[in-house]
Amino acid sequence: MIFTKVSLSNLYCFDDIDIDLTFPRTVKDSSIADEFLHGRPSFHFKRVCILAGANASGKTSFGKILCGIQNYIKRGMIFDWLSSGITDQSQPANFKVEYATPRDYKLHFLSVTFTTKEQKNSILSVEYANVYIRKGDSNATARQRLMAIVENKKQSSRNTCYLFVDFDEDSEKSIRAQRQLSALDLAAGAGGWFYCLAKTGDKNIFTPDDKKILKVDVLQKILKTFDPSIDEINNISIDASKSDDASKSDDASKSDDASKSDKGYRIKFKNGDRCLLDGDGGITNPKRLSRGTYEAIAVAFFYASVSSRRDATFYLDEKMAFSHSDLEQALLNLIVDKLGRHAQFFYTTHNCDILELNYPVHSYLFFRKTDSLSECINPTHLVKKNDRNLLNLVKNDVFSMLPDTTYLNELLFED
Amino acid sequence: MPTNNLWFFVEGQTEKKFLEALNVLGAIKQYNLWQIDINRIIRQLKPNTTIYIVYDTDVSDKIPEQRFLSNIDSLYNHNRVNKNVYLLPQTKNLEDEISTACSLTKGTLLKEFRAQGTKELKSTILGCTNLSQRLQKLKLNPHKLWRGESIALLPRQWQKRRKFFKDLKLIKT
Repeated sequence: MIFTKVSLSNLYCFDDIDIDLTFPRTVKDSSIADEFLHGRPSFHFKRVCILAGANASGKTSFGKILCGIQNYIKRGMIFDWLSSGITDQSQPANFKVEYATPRDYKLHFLSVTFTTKEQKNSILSVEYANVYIRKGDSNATARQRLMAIVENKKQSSRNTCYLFVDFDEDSEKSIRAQRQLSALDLAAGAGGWFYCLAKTGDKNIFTPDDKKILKVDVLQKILKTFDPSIDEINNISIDASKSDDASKSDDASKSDDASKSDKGYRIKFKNGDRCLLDGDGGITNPKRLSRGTYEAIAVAFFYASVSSRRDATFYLDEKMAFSHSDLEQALLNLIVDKLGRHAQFFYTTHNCDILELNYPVHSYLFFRKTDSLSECINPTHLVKKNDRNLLNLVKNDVFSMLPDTTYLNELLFED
Repeated sequence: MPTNNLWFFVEGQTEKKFLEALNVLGAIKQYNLWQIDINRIIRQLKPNTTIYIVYDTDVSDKIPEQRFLSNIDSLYNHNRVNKNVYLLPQTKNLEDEISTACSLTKGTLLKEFRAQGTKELKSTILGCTNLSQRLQKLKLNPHKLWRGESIALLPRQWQKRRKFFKDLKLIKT
C-alpha cells in the first residue's frame, strides 16, 4: 500500500494535522524515478520521504502511528502503539488515512475513531470508502472523487464503496454495516512493512525473522565500511554462538551452513577479537563495536529487507545518527536505489547534510514542535524550484525547525 | 565571500517572536549582548555568518556600554563573521518599537492587545498564535522599525553599520 495522506488528531504530539504524501506535477530530471503508480502516470506519490526535525518533534511517533495504521488495516484491531499514544485520554483519538493499492488501482479512505484499551469498545467508529483510479486520473482528481463519496456518505457507482460503522449503536443498520466491514478484505491492501524505530532501552538489534533475509556478504560489506578493522563475518550455528570461546571458534566456522535456520553471525576482527550475533538479535561483547557499527547492524537488516521485500512500506528511524555524514548519505542512496517500484520509504534524520543530497524538494518534510504540539511543514510551499538550496533555507530557519537553545544559554551564562 | 548563514541576535523571547512574525530570513538567537560575554558562544559561529543585532536603546544608560561594544567588536573581528555585523537599534524597547511602527500610542497598543501593562503585553505577544496577522491588522509598517536615535552615541565605525528593514531578506511565502 502507498500512503497518500495522513490526518491525525489527539495522537501523540499531533492534533489536527494533515500530512500530504503526494505532489502535483512531475519533476523534470528527478533523482527518484517512477514516483507514480504504474500505468497511472499522473498519480504522483512520494516514494521517498525524508522527515527532518529537532529532537522530540514527533518523527518516531509518526512512525509508530503509521505502523499502527497498517496493523489496523491488516488485523482490524487497534495496536498498542496507537491506543497508548492518545494525548488527551478523556477524548477519543482519530486517524484518517488515504492510501492507494497498486494491484487493483484503488484509492482508499479510512477513518477510525478510538479510545484507550481500558474502555470496553476501544474502536468507536470506522468510516471507509474507495474509488477506482482511472487511467488519466491525477492524485488530485482521484482524491476529489473519493472525498465526494465521503461527503455524500454513499457510493457513487459500482466501482466505488462507502461504509460507516458506529460500534456504539446496536441498530440493525449498524450491525449490517459491521458485517459488511468484516466481509471487506481490507488486509489485501495492507501490503508489507518494515519499521525500524529508535526505541529506548532496546536490547536486541534485530528479530529472529529478520535474519532469514540477510546474506552474510551484505552484512560483511556494510559493517566493513563502518569499521575497517573487521576481518570477516561468518554464519555460525546457534550452539556455537552460545559457547563464546576463542578455542572453539575454529570448530564453529567448520559448521558454517547458510541453509541452517538457527544460525547467528560471527564478526571477526583483524586482531583476533570476535563478537557473536545470536539468532535472537542479541550480541555478545557489544563494547567491541563502535556505536555507529552497532547501529549499522540494524541498518544492514533493514537494507536486506528493502532489497528482498520490494513493494512495502519502510521506515528507518535515526538508525544512522551515529554514522559519519558521508556514510549516512551513501547508505541512504543505496536504500533508495533498491526500493521496489511501489515501495514507500520514510527516513528520519537530524543531519542537515542529508538536505544537500540531490533529492527533489517534495521528498522532504519538516517537523517542528511548538509548545506541546507538532506541526509538519511541506517545503514545496516555499521552495518552488529545485535550484534553491534547501540546506541554506533550513540553516536560516525558514521552516522554524531549529531547536531553541535558550535554556542551554542560561546555563552557559550562569556564573 | 559568499554568505550562507544569517543570524539575528535579540535580547528576549518577545523580540524573537516579533521577528519571527516579520518573516525575516535568518536564524533568530536570543543573546543579550549588554549582559553576556560573547566569547562564550563564539565557538558556535559558523563560517560566512552575517549577524544582525537587534537591541533596546533604553538600557544604555543603566548598563555599562563597554560590554556591548567589546562584544560587537569581538564579533566584527572574528574570521567566521568576516566583518558582517550590522545593528538594528530599537526605539527604546519593543513596545515603543511596535507602537511607532503601527503609528499608535502605547496606550492604544496595550488596548489592542487587551493588556493592562507592559508585562502583560509581552506575555500576550508570546502566547499569540497569529501574531503576524494581528500586526497586519494594526497596519504595522516594518519600514518604521529600528529607527533608534541613540546609535549616534556609538563610535562612528558602528554608526555606519546600522541597517533597516529594507536591507533584510524576507521569507517568500
